[in-house]
Amino acid sequence: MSTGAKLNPARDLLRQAQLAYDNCDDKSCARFLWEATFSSIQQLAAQMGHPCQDAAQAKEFTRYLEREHSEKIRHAYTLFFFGLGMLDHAEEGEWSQDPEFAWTFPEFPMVIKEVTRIVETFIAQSEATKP
Amino acid sequence: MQIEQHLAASRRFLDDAVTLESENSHMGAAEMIWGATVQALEAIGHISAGNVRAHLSRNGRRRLAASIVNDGLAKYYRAQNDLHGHFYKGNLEPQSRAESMGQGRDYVAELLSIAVSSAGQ
Repeated sequence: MSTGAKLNPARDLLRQAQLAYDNCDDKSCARFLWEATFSSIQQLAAQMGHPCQDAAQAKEFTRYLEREHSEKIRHAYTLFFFGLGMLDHAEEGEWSQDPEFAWTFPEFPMVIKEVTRIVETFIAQSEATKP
Repeated sequence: MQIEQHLAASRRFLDDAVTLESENSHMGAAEMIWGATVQALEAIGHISAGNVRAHLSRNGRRRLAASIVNDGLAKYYRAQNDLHGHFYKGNLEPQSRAESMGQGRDYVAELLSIAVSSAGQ
């Protein structure tokens, strides 16, 4: 791994998510996964000159990407939405209360892998967008 | 159900979604696209398992979704929460609904393409 990769805040949050899972704390794991997703989206938004201070702005930004810039990143809102599901799990929100939609602890290795792919997708586009 | 029946059901649900949309029955249309998603995954699951009769569990569908296409788990999650969720709650605004249904259709098409090529049809 390069020095740059080690310093990326989104990757550090992914590392903390893995540590939380290793400690059998799926709520903290889910929160770190959301924070990692948001951080990687925020990095791309900064490169493209878009505001992205909270989940609402991240939602608008990724909807804009999905509508207008699918050549840069495919189905950006779908990727954001998955991360938002992690926040719902962390905060025991509406979806996490419904067994049909909720994530179970044994699913988290799969979830961590998916969020890692999502975060790396946004980071890669952010790197490619740097002037 | 056999593989062919799942494939046929998935395609029929997509057609039904178009019909329902034309009748402004958007909640039903969203549910049909979700149903088409499930049937396409069932077809792939049956192909992978050698055409057994058992249905995939919810977790089994998620595991399969994660393994067969890029960003598959995220696509599955959006289809389930947005489209299936809309059927229960009617919570999507028209533009969001149209975008989610478009994404859902694209996802089903991707799954059906994999199913058909895997089944050698």
